[in-house]
Amino acid sequence: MRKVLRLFSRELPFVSSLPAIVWQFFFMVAPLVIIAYYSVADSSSWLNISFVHYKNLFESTYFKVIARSLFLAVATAITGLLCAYPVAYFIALRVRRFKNLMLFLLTLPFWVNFLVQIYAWYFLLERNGLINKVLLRLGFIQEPLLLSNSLFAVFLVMLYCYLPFVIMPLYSTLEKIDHRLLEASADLGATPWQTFWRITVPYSMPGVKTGLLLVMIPAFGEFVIPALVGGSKYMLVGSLISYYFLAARNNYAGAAFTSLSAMVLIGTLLLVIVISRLYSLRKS
Amino acid sequence: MGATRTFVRIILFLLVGAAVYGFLRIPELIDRIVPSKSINVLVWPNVIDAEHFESFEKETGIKVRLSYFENYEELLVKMQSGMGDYDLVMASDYAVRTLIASNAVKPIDKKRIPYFSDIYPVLLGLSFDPDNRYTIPYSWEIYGVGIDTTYYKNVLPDASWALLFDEKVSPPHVGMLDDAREVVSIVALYLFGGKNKQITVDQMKQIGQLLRKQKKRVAMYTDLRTDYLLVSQAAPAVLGISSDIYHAMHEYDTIKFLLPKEGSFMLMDMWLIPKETKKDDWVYQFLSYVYQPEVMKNYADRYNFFPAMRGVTSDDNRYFIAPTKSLLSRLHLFDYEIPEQQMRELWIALKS
Amino acid sequence: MLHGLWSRFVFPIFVAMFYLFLYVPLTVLTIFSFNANKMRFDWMGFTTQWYRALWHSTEVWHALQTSLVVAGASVALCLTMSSLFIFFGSQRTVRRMLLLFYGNLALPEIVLAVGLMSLFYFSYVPLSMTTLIAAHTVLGLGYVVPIMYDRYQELDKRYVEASMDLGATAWQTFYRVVLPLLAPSLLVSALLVFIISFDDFVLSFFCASGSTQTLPMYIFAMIRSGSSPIVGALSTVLLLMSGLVVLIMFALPGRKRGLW
Repeated sequence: MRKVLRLFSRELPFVSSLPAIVWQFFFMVAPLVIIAYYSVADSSSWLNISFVHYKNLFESTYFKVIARSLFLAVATAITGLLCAYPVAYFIALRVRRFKNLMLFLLTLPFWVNFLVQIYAWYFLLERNGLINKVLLRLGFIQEPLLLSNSLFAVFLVMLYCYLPFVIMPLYSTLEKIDHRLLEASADLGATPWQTFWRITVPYSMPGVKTGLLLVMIPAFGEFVIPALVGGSKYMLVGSLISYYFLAARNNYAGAAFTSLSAMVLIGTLLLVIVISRLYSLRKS
Repeated sequence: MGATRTFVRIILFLLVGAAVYGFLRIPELIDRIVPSKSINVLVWPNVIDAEHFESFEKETGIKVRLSYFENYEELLVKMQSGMGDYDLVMASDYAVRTLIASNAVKPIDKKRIPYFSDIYPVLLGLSFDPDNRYTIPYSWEIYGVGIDTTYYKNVLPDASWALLFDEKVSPPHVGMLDDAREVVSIVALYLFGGKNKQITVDQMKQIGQLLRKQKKRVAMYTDLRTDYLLVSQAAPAVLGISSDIYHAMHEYDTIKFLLPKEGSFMLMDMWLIPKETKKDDWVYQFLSYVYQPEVMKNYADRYNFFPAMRGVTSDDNRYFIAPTKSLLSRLHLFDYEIPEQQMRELWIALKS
Repeated sequence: MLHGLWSRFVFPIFVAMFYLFLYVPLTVLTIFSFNANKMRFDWMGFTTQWYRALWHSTEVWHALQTSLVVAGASVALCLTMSSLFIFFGSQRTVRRMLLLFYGNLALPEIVLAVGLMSLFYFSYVPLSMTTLIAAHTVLGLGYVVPIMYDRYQELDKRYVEASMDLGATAWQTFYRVVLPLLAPSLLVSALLVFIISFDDFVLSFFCASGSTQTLPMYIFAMIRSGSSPIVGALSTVLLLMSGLVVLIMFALPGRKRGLW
C-alpha cells in the first residue's frame, strides 16, 4: 500500500501539470477537432468523409462574406494603428507631467464592457441622435444622415472598440525604448524626423505587430457589432457562423464555413508574416 | 519501471479526465439528487417572464425556472434531443405540428383546466391540433404593416403589402423582419396569393429577386426593433408583428397598424406538456396561475400581445382586436412548405 | 522649426481629439441615462426613474448573480490549475506544453464558441452553468498561464533553491516563498480573469443554456429588442465600476511593472 502511495506521490509534478493540460485539451483542442470533423462528416454515418459541405461553399456569396470580413478587419487594424501611433508616441515620449492621468484616461475605455461601448454609439449615430442633431443645428445638412445600420457604422464602432487593443501594446513598446538611443541619435546630428524613422519606428515594430494581430484576429470573427449597428443587413463571417449554428441549426455546413474562414484568416496572416520575413531578409 | 510509470500516468490522466467530465454534469446531478420543487418551462422571449411569479412561488412553494429559445429550430432541437428536461413548453404553428407528430407531447387533461371555456372559441380547433388535444392557446398576434402617419400627412395609405414591396408606393426606407421563414411566407402571399401552400423552387427565385430589389430601401432587418424604427422615424413603414407595433402605438398616437388587404399571417402561442414530465400537478397549478385574468393582464400589457382568453382588459384598449371568424379567415398560419436549402441560400445571398 | 510646430500644436490637438473620440460616446451615454424619454433620443427632462427600475428588476439581479458566480468559479479554477501547472509541474513539461496555451489569441472567439457548442452537442452534455464556467476558464487559462510563466521565470530561483536546501518541502516552499513573491501578479491575474469572464459575451451566448443568463447576455437581449432605458442606467453603473477598477489598478504600488 505504501509503495502504491509512493508511486503516486512521485508523480506529483505530472499530476500538477495534468489539470491545466487536460482542461486545455478538452476545451480548446477538442472543439477545434470537432469542428474539423463536422466539416467533413457525412450526416448519414459517422465514418464517412465527404467534402460536400466545402463544395457547397465555393460560391461567390461566401467568398464575398469572407472578403468583406477580411477587408473590415484589416481596415480597422490599420486605421486604428494610424490613429493610435501618434497618441502612444506622444504620451510615451513627449509628455512628462500628466503622464499618469493620461494613461489612466487611456486605460479606462479598455475596461468598459464592449456592449456598453456599442450602446453608447446609439446615442450618436441614430437618426435623432447627437451627431445628426449637431449637424442639423449648425446647418451643415438639411436632412438627417443615415449613419446607423450601415457598414460605415460597423467600421466606426469596431474602430472604437478595438482601439485600446492596438494602443496598449504600442504604448508599452514605445515606453521601453531607451531614451539614450534617441539622445545619441540627436547628438550625432540626425533630425527629429530621421530619429523617428530610423530608431523609434523599428524599435516599436514588435508593439505594432502585436497590436495589429490583437485587432485583426478578433475583428475578423466579430458578429455582435454587425448585428447591433449594422442593421443585420450585411453578413460577416461572425454573423454567418452564428446564423448557421443558431438559426439554421446546421452544424455541418456551419462547421465547414467556420473551418474555411479560419483557414483563410490563418493563411492571410501566414502570408503577411512570410512576406515581412522575406522583406527583412532582403534588407539585411 | 518505465511500464509501471506509464501505467500510473494513464490512470491519473483518466482520473483527471473523469473529474473534468463530471464537473460538466454537476447541475444535472444536483437536479437528480436534490429533487427541488420546481418546474422547467421553455418559452420564447416577449410573452412571459419571471417578474410576476413571486406570489405563485410563495403560495405553492413551486419554483418556476424559465428558459428561452430564439427560434423554432432551437426549440425542436431542445425538445427532441432530450437535453433540458422541460415540464412545460410554449410553441406555435408548425413547431406544434412537428412536436405532435414526433410524439413529444402528452394530451392535456381538460378536466384540470377550467378556464379553457374562457378561451375565444374561434381560436380553438386550428389545423395543427383540431381538437386541442395537446395545446392550450395563450396569446396570439398578427403580422402587418406599421406606419408613421406623420410621413403620410395623416392620410392612411391603402393597407397592402405593396407598401413594403412595390417601388411605386413604397417609401424610401422600410423596416423588415429578420426571420427567413416569415419573410419568405409573406412575400409568397403577396406574389402568389395564399391558395397554394407549396412553394416551388422557381417561386423561390422570384421571391429572392423581389427581396434583393427591396434591400436598398431596407433600413434594418430586425425581429424585435420594428417599433423603434417607426418611433425614431427612420422608416415610415415597417413589416412588424402586432405586439411590437402596438408597443409604439401606446406611446405615440402617430403610429398605426395596418392589416393588408391581401391577407396576412397570425402567430398563436400555445402551451404544450412534454411527454416525459412527471410534474403534471405542478404544471397545471402553474397554468391556473397564469390564466388568472390579473396575471395575464400584466403580461399582455407589458408585451402587447392579444390574449387568447376573454375578460382580460388592459389599461389601454383603444386598439384591441377581438378575434372573430371573419378576421381569422383573412389570416394564415406559417404552414407553407418551403424548400429548406433554397430558403437558407436565399437568405444568405440576400445578406451578402 | 517645423518640429516645434508639430510638437506644440498638431500633436496635442490630435491627441485631444483622440481622447474626445474615446470619451464623447461614454459621456453621452451617462447623461442620457437620466433622460425621461423612453424611446427617442430627445431630451425630455431629468429623471432617476431608470435607476430605480434597475434596482427593482429581478432579471438584472439574477443575471448579475449568474455573472458573479461564473466569474468567481472561473477565477478559482483558472488560478488553481495554472498555479499547479507552473509552480508544481515539471519545468520540462511546462516548457513543452506552453505553446498549447497560446491558442486563445490565435483564433476569433466565435470559432471557439461554436466549437465548444458542437463538442457539447456531440458528447450529449447538456448546456448549463458549468459548461459556461468551463468555457470561461479555458479563456482565462490562455491569459494567466503565459503571464504567470513569465513572472515565475523572472523570479530569482535562488530563493527557491535556498528554501529547498534548508529542508522545506515543495508545498512549504510554495506557500512561504513563491506565493508571497508572486502575490501581486496572482492578484492581477485573478482580476484579469474575473473581468474577462464577467464581460464576456460571445462564449456565453453560445455555451450557456436557455436559463443561464449572464449580465452581458441580458444587455445584448435588451439592446436587440430596442427597449428599456434600463440598459442605459445599467451601462452607466457598469461604466462607473470599470472606472473604479482602473483607479484601483493605478493606485496599487509597483505600477512600474504593470500589466503591460
